[in-house]
Amino acid sequence: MSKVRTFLIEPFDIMLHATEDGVQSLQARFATWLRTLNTPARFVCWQMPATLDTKINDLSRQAKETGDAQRAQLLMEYRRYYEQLDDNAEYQRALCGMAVWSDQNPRALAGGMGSSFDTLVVEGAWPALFEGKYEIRDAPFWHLAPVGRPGGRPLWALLNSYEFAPATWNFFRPLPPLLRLNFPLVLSIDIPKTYERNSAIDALEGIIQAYEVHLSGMRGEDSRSVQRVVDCRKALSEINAGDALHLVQVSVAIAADDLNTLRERVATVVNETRAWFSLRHEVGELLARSLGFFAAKSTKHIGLPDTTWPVVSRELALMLSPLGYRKLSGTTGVLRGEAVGAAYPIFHDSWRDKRATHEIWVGTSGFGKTFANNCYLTREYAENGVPFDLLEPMGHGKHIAEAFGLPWYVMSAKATKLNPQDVMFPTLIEQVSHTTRIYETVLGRPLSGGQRQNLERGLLGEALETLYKGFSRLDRVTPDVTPTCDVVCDVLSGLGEKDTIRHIARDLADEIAGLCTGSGPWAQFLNGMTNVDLTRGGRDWIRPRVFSFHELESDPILQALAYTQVLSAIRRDSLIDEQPRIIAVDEVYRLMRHPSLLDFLIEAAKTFRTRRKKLVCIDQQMSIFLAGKARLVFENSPIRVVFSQRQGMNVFQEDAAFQHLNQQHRDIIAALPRFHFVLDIQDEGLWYARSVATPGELSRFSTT
Amino acid sequence: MAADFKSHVLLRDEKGVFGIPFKRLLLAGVGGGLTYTLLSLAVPGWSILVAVVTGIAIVVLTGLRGGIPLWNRLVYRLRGTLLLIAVRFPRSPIGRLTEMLELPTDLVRLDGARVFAPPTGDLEIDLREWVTFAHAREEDGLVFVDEPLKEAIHE
Repeated sequence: MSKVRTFLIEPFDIMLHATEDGVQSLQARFATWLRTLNTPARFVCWQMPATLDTKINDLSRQAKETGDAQRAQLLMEYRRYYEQLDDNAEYQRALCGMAVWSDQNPRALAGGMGSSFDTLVVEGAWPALFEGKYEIRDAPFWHLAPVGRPGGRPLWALLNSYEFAPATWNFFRPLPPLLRLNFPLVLSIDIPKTYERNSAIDALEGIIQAYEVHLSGMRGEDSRSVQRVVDCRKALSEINAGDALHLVQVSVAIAADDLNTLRERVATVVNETRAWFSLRHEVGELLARSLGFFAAKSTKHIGLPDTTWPVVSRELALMLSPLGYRKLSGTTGVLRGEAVGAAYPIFHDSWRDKRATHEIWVGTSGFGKTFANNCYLTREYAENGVPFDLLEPMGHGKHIAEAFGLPWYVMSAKATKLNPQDVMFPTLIEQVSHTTRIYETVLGRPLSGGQRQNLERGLLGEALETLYKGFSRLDRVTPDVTPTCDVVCDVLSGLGEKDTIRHIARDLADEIAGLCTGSGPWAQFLNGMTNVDLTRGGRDWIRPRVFSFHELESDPILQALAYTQVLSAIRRDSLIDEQPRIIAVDEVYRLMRHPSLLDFLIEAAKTFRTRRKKLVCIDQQMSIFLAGKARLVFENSPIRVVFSQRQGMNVFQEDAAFQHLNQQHRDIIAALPRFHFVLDIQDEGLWYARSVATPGELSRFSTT
Repeated sequence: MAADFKSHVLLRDEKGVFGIPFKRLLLAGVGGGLTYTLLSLAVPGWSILVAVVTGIAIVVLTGLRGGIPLWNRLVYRLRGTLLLIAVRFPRSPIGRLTEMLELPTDLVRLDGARVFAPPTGDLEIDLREWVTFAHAREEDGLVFVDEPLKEAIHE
């Protein structure tokens, strides 16, 4: 016998396939994998009731430990909310596993399963059905009981299938209702044998022939024989169409804390499945042997009397339906939403990795992005102590600033000054390059690509270097001593050794001066000392900050410049430590449409990542993140939160980055109602979720 | 999408009378006949009654209960009971009988760690738990050296 390999399979959400076409394609994919089986295999699904106790206890502990009264208050608010959720729901935790007796490379096997089941499959040890020592007991009925003090260990009873009724199976019946019973149970689908195609055909043809001989000599009615011939012919045609013939047996292990409940649960399971298959409550030696069906023990070694049933691959595929019933996974991380359909809370910890995992949020206006983002930022701050910087162009940052009692930085064309020469980078080259990018945006043309433009770039750089070199250390250049735009223009106009160069320098200085100094359109905003406190100011930890840009809405260039300077300041502070922080940029397109600022965003995304600063880019259409260089931001963001995308569905169909989505996923994205979204986490899974908010969050952010 | 499960396409239904296949009736007949033949020599007055009872018992015991012939199921139950007694009272006559029959008494007391032991001890690291370090530091297990390390064998 080949070596057994065990795999753990993360269940997915069948709600993401819940159309006729969706489940059909799912069945076809499962069947395709099963057709390739030529060795024994076993599928197991463990289901245990779950609570939010761990989460609740963690929040209580944090509330006691934190010295921040505001955080403590928020933590207690979340604790109450989770307690309420726990009281009103019966959560379960589910895990699936597959054992394959094969000599193939386990990674190849896991890869094959992963692509067929469209979910994460890793080689791993199966969880044990029980811990410690158990013994068989015969009174009042046969069961397994813990030896010694139970210590919370339940009693177990085992059932095995022995007959399948001619009934219709699908992905929703009969196994999923079993999983909805809120008690611990484990389901095993044992596939001890898969017939080689020719031997399956021979066996079936033999049965048909025997029945035909019998029927030809019969005078009366024999409907059972006629039906058997029909079934055999149907099985033959399915095998000839590519299916394989498997022998299967279903085993169910049921747990309970006392004998009466155990007896009741056994009866419930037997009755629930009676219309599809019959279950036998195991007794005596069979009870002990049957445990092997929940471990990686071969059917031959288990040594039970053969009560398997022959099924073709397309039928067996439906027995893997528990794979489509994702339940509550871990409670680590923050609440991201509630699964649509199954209604379990989705928690995700995006800080497991030492690097930050950036996110992209897209969705049409009015579908709940901002509200969900405010809730997310609050949860990360309360539960993980992760502060944030919110950059938004609509003015709704006011609500979150008020909720946290934070200073609300409103960038205004009249009142705000942001000096382009403010030091944002640690080295002179980077700082000069950054300031040049800002002037390029102001000028509306790149300072590169032609001979004159290259000269202009060099001259501007020289002027800036001259000014910065006047300071002993770049990091000591505070806003009050930073050179202003008119100083830059003065220095620039005096550069150049040859007449032609002097002429170019003067022209460029005049051009910049015309825009940024005197009565130039951006002079009020750019020429002068920065009057927004973007400095770290010697602090070890920076509180959450909210920057609103709604008063710059009339001027997209000013808005882009303001975004850039604020992000640059955040980036500069990010380099100093590796404390986790979230930088949420709403309407990021306003930044991305300026090519030089897009470069900055890409570079910032990379820097943020290594310094544990999570960048959350929010905009209306996914398409803007996929075009040109913006794709680099997209590819650095493994978490995608997709709200309604009615107007931008083409990218989900055409772009290679979304090939993991099927038609059903696309249909869901196209028709997402308000406050619903698809959470797509690379290499982890896809969730169809609904925004949920605590009463506190609703009262704080309902106006957004 | 759904599938209609079929009857057992690898098994032939056996015809019979009153739902009892001919095979079982034949076995009951042969069993009853044999009992009658043997008992008619020893206790002729009881032979017919015992033969009939034997025939009926064979019909009942060969009937399926939970997909297994009743006699087989009773044997497993009996073996289970013997195992339980043998474990509880190892020095009793049943305990000794069980030992003589070499019944697997280890099936009565089951250790979760053994029954559900992973098949291979050398499972690879779960890559989901892989930690990416931002810096190569000594405490992270990464050390940069100035030159390639010399192998002791060449020194």
